[in-house]
This record gives sequence, structure tokens and C-alpha cells, in this order.
Amino acid sequence: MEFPEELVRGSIVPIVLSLLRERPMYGYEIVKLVNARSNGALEWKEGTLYPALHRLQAAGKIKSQWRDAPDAEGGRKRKYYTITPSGLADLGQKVDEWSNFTSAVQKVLRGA
Amino acid sequence: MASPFDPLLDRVTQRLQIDPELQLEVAHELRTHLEESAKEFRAAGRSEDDAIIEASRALGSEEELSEQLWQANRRRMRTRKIARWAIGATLVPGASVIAISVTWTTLLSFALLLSIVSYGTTPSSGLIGLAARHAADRVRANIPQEERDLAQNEGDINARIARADTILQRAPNDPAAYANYALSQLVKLGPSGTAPDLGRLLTVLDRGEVLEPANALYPTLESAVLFEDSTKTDSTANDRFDYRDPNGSGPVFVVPRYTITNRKEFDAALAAFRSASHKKYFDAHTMDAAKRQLDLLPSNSLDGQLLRISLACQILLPHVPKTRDLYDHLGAVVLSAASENDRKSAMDWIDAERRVADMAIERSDVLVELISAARLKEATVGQTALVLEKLGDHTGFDRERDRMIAMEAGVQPRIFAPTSAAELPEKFLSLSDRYFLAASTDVAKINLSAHRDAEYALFDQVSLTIGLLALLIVIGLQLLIAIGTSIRRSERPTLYFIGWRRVIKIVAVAIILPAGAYLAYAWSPISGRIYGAPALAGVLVVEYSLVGLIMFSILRVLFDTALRERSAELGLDTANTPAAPSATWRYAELMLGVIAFAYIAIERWYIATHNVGGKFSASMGIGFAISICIWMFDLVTLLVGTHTTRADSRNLIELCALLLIVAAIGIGLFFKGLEAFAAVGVVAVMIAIVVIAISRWLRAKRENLPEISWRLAIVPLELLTVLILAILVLPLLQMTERCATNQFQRPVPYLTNEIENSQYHDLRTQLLQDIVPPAREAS
Repeated sequence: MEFPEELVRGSIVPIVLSLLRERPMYGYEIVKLVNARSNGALEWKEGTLYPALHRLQAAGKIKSQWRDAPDAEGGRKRKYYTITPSGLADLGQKVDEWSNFTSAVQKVLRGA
Repeated sequence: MASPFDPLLDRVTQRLQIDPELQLEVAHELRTHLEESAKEFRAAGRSEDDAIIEASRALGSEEELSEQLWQANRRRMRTRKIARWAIGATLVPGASVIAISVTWTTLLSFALLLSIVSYGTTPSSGLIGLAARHAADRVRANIPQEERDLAQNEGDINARIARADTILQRAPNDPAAYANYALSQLVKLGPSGTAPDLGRLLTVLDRGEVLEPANALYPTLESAVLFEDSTKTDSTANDRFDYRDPNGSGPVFVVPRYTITNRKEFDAALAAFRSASHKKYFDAHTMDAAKRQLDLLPSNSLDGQLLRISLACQILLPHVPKTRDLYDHLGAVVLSAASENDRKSAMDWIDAERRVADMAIERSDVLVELISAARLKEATVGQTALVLEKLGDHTGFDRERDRMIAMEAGVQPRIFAPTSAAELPEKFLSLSDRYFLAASTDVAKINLSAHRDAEYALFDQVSLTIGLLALLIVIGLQLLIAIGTSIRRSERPTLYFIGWRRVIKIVAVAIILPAGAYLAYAWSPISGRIYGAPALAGVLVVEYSLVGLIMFSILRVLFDTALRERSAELGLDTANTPAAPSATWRYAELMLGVIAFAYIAIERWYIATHNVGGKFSASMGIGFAISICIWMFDLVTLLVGTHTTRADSRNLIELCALLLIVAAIGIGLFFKGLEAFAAVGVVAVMIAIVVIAISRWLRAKRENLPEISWRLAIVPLELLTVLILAILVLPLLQMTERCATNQFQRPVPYLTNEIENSQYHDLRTQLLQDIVPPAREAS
């Protein structure tokens, strides 16, 4: 099942923050994890992730650091993102917003 | 390392090109993503080409991604642009201005100090003289315009007379102002003055006598210039006797003979001296003039204090050689009378001479004047001996000659040597002790620590500022090379930032740690800073150079590591970044360090065991040679690293040629051939570096190494280093000034505001009473 693009785009920020709360991750790892956990239901266009990461970084919600990739050849580096305290605070708010939104939508749909 | 995704990444990140570093970073992040994605597709059985196509497709729409990346990074790019502009506008000029200003101030002070310790006067020529005069003018600029004339001794004699005249116009009846003016005129006359000059001087001296009728100064000087003008030295004959002085050497007491060329002037000279001998006092007012000068100088700056010393040493004493010549003429008159068996006349003239000498001794406020007056009195004893010899009284001759020797023994050790080796161990020799410590001072009881602090702070300042200059030169060269490269390639070079964490790490490890370690060493007893700074000069330059070598080596290693890391983050080919230093280079560095340490150890041991710090000049030459080698090594190392590109190697050759010229000029100016072996060593090292540079350039050309220059990337960091070093200099500058204000303000023994209460009082008493009883009584 493919979700509308607007819906997917709106869910990126809470999903990314939520995943980064677990541990620092790099972009490709986030994409793979989202695919795995949603059983392929949330199949992002991978390119949309990076502008979101950059926006979150500019807003101070996450920070990045280049680290050696343990499994990569030739000393290749990956850019790892880590959630900041401000990002953590924002995550709670985003989760509440999302719950309230989906609950409100469900109520409307049931009423119909 | 080209990637199959590069064309796609170029298109996607094209809108970020106004921030090339960010464009590279974003492209590299996407590249790693695409490569991992393609790898998975390949693992799933797709062909190489299919994997690339699928990975690219998974990324989404190029246009959309490009737009989103632009939107997401727009603010960031703007902020980074402003930050770059702000750094360019403040860091570069700020660091340069602070570094140059601190360096300039320190070098001026050092020039002033060098001029003082050299001869006590500001040299009129050469770079040091130029800098010292500039420093002095800067201090005098703080003196009110109307008083400025008084605080200046240097320059053309006509200018000095004009200044003395200006001072006199403001106080026409002031005896000190008049004496200052008259003595300036005396300097202008010189030994071969013209008749109009002589006439003008006699008028000036006559006016002086009217102003101060009881002062023997004016008739004495009148007599001296008239004798000089009315006689001609007869070089074929003189009266003399040999004797053995307290040092064991054998000088000669000589009274020249003269031929009278103008009898009228000669008689006038005799009359003038006779008149002088009946005056009440002899006063050149030297101290008055000097004190007025010194009181004008601001005391709150290092330069002010240094100029104070300089002026104290430059006190105008033209009457001193004039009176000495006068006593030669009078001696000739005395011996002429003795030749005619006119004992009474001879003794009368000697008596007149002694009265004038005693008057000079009584009123001599300045030590040099006092010593000179003592010499006059000594001359009367020598003349007495010759008179008695001529009259056949050989016992009297022996007695008077022995009196003269005894007098010299009492006076000589104090002439210009209040800190002779016997009284002041040379390990305590310092920049200004010789001017401040009295002959009878018990050195062991003096607390020299504050004085030492001032000296070493000055040395530390100079070394740090030399380091600043070296860094500025390196940065300037790097910028020039970068500009040249960009013009040649018709593109603007990208400025990479290695990141604040790395900056902090580099500054802490390469600058603060070695500087802090050296500071701790300098404060500890093992540094040997209980000795005067000049005694340790050779050791100090090597120590500074070693610290510089350590700093530069760490800087280079950390810079290179940081650049390699950053280039990996940006997905650039790390093969073009500076490579690790070669083993030969490291061994050379290590050997230089070992030699420097060995030198420091041997020198320190020698100074401590032989107590000859100040005289160890030969080893100081070796110290300078080692230091110059280290600095050459440092500069080359920092500037070019291991020079893996053609541009680097070419630049190394240019740098060596430049340093060769600078070093040749420096050696010519400062070593003056005395340290030829050091010069030969330095030139040999430089030639070796040039040879190595050329061979490496040829190798680089043969291997067709790229011309990419990474130097520009470290320029901001180097500027930060300059700022930190400049900040380190500032407290040292304050420390020097504080110590200088405390220490250099002590009264100078040459001046007599202490003379009544010091050992010179005893010397004066001895001169007047004990050492030489009047010849008439003796005879």
C-alpha cells in the first residue's frame, strides 16, 4: 500500500527523531530501518530524508558527526546524526501532535 | 576517485555551489548513500549498471531533491557566508594588526635597549639606530611641545644649539640653561674651529661670566680655547715618565710641548686661567640640565624608562676633554718655567691648576665629571714630579710619581666600571646592572629577581614576536601562492574549515601545551634564570628555537591529520593532501633537537661551573647557528610540509632563495665577520636545503604530481595561532614595563642625586684630602 506523499512527508520528522532517540544513525541506515519496521509500507523516496535531516540540524534538533564506517572499505566516512536535548523535547511534542491528529481524523471518519 | 554518481550529484547539488564546501559535503553524504544502496542492489543480483540506475531512482526526483536541499540549507549557507565574511574582515586584519603592532613595539624597545647597552648613546646610523630613534621620538611625543627641546640630545650640532637657544630664550637668566647653551657652542667649535666661531664662543663665555661671576667654568673654557687657538703641538719633543699602574701595565705620563703661534691670545689664555683659579666654584650645571630632561620623560612605559637611561648616559660633557687639553697646555707652561729654574712660577701655576681641579671635584655632580676632575688633579701631581726631576730633586720625583700611582689606584677602578669583574661576579651580569649597581655594592645581598623578570620578559617578548613574524611571513606566502594558483587556474580556491573541535585540539596541543610547559620550565630553578639574561643569551635562543621546533612539528602533524580527515569527509581524493613526513625528515628533526639539547646542557654546565656567562661569546655563535638551522627547518616544514606537489617544491626553492638573502644581510649586519664559522654553517645548511628542494621539485615534475595547494585551508587556523601568541605577548609586555618602571627608575649612580650619600662621597673626600696631599706641603 502506497501512502499519499503529503502524509509521508508530514511523518518524517517524528519518525526520524524517534529513531535517533535510540542511537546515532546515518541516512541510509534510517531509510533501511523505516522500511524494515513498517514492513515496506512506508517506502520513502530516499532523497526526501536528507533535506529533512538538514532542516532538523539547522533547527538544532539533531547534530551530525563524520565517523569512520566500521564495515566500509578504504577508510570511508559516514555522517552520523544524533538527537539533541532540544530534539528530544520536540519529539514528545511531535508524538502528541501526531496522536491528536490521527485520533481527530479517526473520530471524524467514524462519525461519517 | 571518480564515482558513477558524480554527474547526478553535480546536478542535485548545483544550487549549493555558492558554498563549495557545503556542496562537497552534501554531495559526499549522498554519494555514500547511493554507493551503499547500489551495493545492496548488486548483492540482490542486479548488474553493475542496473544497481546504479536503481540506486539513483530510489533517490527520487532530481529537481525536487535539488529544490528541497536548497530550501533546507538556504539559511545555513547565508549564515556561513556572513561568518566567512566576518572572519575575513576581522580575523585576518585583526591578527595581522595586533601581531605587527606588538612586534613593532617590542622591536623598538629592544633597539633602544641595544643602543643603551652598546655605548650609552643612541646610534645615528643603521637599522638599530633608526628603530631606537623612532622609539625615542615616540616617547618624546608625549612631552608638551614647548618642553620637547629639553628632552633631546641627539642630532646635528646646529639643531642642538638651536634647541639650547630656544630653552635659553625662555629663561635668559637661568644659569643651567645658559651653561647648556654655552657647552653646545663649545661642541660646535670642535678642535679646528674657525675664527668667527671662536669669536662667537668667546662672546658667549664672556656673557656667561657676567651671569655667574663666581663660576670658574667660563674663564676655564675661555683659557682652553685660547690655548688651543694660539699654539701648535710640537710633536718632536715632550716631557714624560713611565710608571707601573695598579693593573701591572706600564703607561706613560706625558706633557706635550707646544709652539706658540699667537702670543697675544696665549697671554690672554694664561690670564683667563689665572682668573678662573680665583673663582669660588666650578659648575657646568650638568646635573641640573640632566635632571630637567629626565623629569620630563613619562615613567609609565618601557620605552620611557629606557630613554631615561639613554639620556642619563648621554649627558653633555664637552668641557671634560677641553679641560684635559687645557691641563696639557698648562703642564707645558709649568715645565717651561722649571726648565728656566723658575720653581716658584712653576709651583704657582700647579697650585692654580689644583685649585681649579678641587673646585671641579667639589661641584661635580656627575661621576664622569668627578673622575675627570680627579684626572686633572692627578695631572698636577705628575707635573710636580716632572718639575722636581727637572730641578734635580730625584727623591721628590719618586715621591710624587708614587703619589700619582696611588691616586690612580684609588680612582681607576671606578672609572666606567662600577661593576668590575672583581666586585660583581659575571654570572650576575645583566642588561643594566652595570649602570645601576655601585662599586661597593654587596651583590650577594641584592634581590635581583624583579630585575631578572624584566630582562627575561623582554627576551621572551622578542622571541615570541619573532615567532609571530615568522608565522605572518608563512601566512603571507601561503596567501600569495593561493592567489597565484587561483589566477593561473582562473577559479577561486575553496576554503575548507577543519571544524572547531580540531581547531581547539590543535591550539591546545600545539600552542598552549608547549608554551605552558616552557613557562613552567622558565619559572623553575632548573631554567638557570638566576643568571643575567645576557649570560644566557646563547642558551635562550636555542631554547626558544626548540620550543618553536616542537610547536611547528606538532602543528604540522595535526594540520596534516586534520586536512586528511576533512578531505575524507568531503569525499576528496586524499592522495593530494600533505603526506606524512618522511623518515629522513623526522630523523633530521630529531638530530637537530638532540644537538640543541646537548648545546643547552653543555652551555649551562659551563656557565655554572666556570662562572663566565657573559664572556661565552663563541658558544653563543654556535647557539645562534643551531637556532637559525632550527628556524629554517621550522619554516620550511610548516610552509611546505613534505611538499608533495610541484607548486610546493617550487615555492620551497623561492623561499630558500629569499631566506638566503635575508640571512646574508642579517649575518653582515649583526655578526660582522666575528662569527664567521656560524655564518658558514648556516649557509651550508641553506645550500643543502636548496639542493634537497630542487631534487624534490624535479621528482615532483617527473612523477607529474598535481599542483593543488592545501595551504589555504590552514590559514585561518594560523591566524588564530598568531592571535593567541599575540595575547601571550601582551602580559609579558606589561610585566616588562612594570619591572622596568620599578627597576630602571632607580637613580643612576652617574648622577649625583645619590652622590652625597654614596661611596662617591668617600671618593670625593679622598680626592680632596687623603689621597694626594698638596704638593707644596709634600715638598
